[in-house]
Amino acid sequence: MPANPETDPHIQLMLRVQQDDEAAFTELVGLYQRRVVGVAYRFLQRLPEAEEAAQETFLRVYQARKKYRPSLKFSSWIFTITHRVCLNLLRHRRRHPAVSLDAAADGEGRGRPLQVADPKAGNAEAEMAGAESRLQVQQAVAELPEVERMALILEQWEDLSLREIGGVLHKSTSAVKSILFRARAKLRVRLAPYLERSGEA
Amino acid sequence: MDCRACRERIREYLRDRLGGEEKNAIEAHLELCPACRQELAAEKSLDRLLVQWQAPEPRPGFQTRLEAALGEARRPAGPSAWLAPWALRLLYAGLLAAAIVGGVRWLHPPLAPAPLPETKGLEVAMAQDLDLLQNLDLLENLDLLEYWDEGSPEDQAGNGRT
Repeated sequence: MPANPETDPHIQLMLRVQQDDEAAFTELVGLYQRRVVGVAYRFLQRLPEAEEAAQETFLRVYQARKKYRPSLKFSSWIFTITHRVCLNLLRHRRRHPAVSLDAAADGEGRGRPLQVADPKAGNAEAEMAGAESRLQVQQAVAELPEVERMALILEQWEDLSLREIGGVLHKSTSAVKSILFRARAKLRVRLAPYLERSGEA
Repeated sequence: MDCRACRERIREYLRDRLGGEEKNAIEAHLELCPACRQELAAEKSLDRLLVQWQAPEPRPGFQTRLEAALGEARRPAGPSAWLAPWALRLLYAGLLAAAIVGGVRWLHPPLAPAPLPETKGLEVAMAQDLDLLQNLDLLENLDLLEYWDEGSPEDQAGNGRT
């Protein structure tokens, strides 16, 4: 099912960007900035790299504006670009393991990601338990193969449909379904102790 | 609906992405199947756990860096924007070569201008002479003309007389 420019307001915005409407581009960046950083962050697990990926994504969107065709829902299109940029950054990271872009320089790279609440505030024990389970979730997601990780991120946190995820990953709907099934089965095993706790809550 | 079909659609059911007929069918199956109800509960539990992991906000300064990078992209296109990279490199190489040749010629100008046109004229004349030498009748006529131009001995004598 191709995207419908009439029903996707973001496609309308992108078509204005195509006509060199600078205000439309600024609006689009505002709408997608946090989402793109979020997808990149969950995939790469380092905030400086996620920000770099987001910056590169918006640059590519702008540079490719004349070639844009609304064959996909806009969110699928932009996340396709984000996915490619993230894969490039991962390859760069593998080739240069000692140099993690600006992560090492600013000390905010590895492992910073969780928003751990202050244990002094409120129920300290519950907060610590929550922080622990979030850390376990983060590590479990990081351990997934790249394609399973991206499929999970797009389904779980971006609420994309199977078809839209297929558009991003260049997979059929049934392939996406089995990729997600495998990813979630792994997470359920890996996070079993925390699932029980979560279930009790 | 059997268990396999139910589990294949359980994510879409949880996401409320199923049409009325399929939704009714899965709910009817769940009503009768404790194993699939347990599967549904496990999926809901995993959802609850995963959503706790929130992505952080971009750091301060991200917006500024992004705008700076986008500003570069929005700058009016220069020659590098419409020339292919290889063409641009070729252009730069050509300009560099021209600059080097120009510099060398400026530092070491040629000692004398090359006498190209005159040489060419001489060569043409020689070629014409060769043609003439092969034509004996013409040569004889030329001798006569030369003789006429310079004046015959009789004329010269006559002139001397006057």
